[in-house]
Amino acid sequence: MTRVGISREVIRALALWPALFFISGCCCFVPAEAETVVIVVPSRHDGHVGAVVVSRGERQQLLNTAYATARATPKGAIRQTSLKPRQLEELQKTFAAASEALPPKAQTYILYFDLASENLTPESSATLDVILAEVGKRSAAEIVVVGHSDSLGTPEANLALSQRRAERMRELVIERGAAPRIVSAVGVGERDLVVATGDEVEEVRNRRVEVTIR
Amino acid sequence: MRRLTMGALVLAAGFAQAAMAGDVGQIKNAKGGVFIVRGGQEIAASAGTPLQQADRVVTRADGAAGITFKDNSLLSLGPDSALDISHFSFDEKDQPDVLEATLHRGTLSAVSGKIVARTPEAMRIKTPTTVLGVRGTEFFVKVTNPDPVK
Repeated sequence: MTRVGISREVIRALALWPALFFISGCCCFVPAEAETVVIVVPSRHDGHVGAVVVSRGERQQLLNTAYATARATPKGAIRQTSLKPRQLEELQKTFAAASEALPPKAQTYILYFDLASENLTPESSATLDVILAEVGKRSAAEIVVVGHSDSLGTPEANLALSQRRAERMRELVIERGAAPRIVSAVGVGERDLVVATGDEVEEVRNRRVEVTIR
Repeated sequence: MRRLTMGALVLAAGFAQAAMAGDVGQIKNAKGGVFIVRGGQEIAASAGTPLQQADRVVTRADGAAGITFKDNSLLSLGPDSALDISHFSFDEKDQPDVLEATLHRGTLSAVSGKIVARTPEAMRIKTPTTVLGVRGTEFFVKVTNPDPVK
């Protein structure tokens, strides 16, 4: 009985003093205005801490330390805080689902060819198995092949050669079981040398195909 | 209703078959309810569904989704989230690299890719209250938005 009485009183209070309700009860409800929370974290891949610039109009806040956090509502300052251990735990819960859904990082493998040919060196043939194993581990994997040449020969001939190498690589991964529709292949000739050389230089490290799995 | 859902799934599978020039990335992980809103149509999304500029990715209360872009940037959404892929250009002739996404609500996990490696802050995340210029590498964003966004 008493309980009912109290709750009636509360209801009346809510109806009469919406401002009081707002002050006392707002933290339990969705805030009345939009809020953005941004947190910079160490990279899960290499621990590197990057930076994010949070801006709203003229106001800017640079976040460039581990777990640096900014909160921003439509008006007022962008508040920067560093998190306490308890808040870190909350953070992990808040972002657990998003974090788990993050796809694995893309992996790039470099394979080399014998001079003026579309034949892989023996070491690079072995890398093919590593590539196929990586593809098998991923959900909806794509294989992106980019062929390159060294600077020996004309740019036109090298473009054609790099395209043949990329195409050969595409065939090789498909022969080993990759679905054709997930494999793309392009050649870029001598325009993206990994070892800078002058023109007409034979360089094994430039005669390569880069295979990215993502 | 059931037929409608199946139709949407078949449609999504059809998109998954062909990676087209207009694609900016792909859904790699999809858990629970994940949809793409494209040209006013809602498409059920699954692992392998390609994404295009101007797509909105929406997750339901039980949903989560992971996206890999063509520049190897990674973005993922927790439940009850809505993200627009506002602008994406990578390695296009005579066009600056850019990745601009808008988080209307929900949670986002992000790891920058080649676009940021080449041009810091060419990746931007917009929210109802801020613009985030990304210099690297991993970060989280949460948007609480009282205004309903479909």
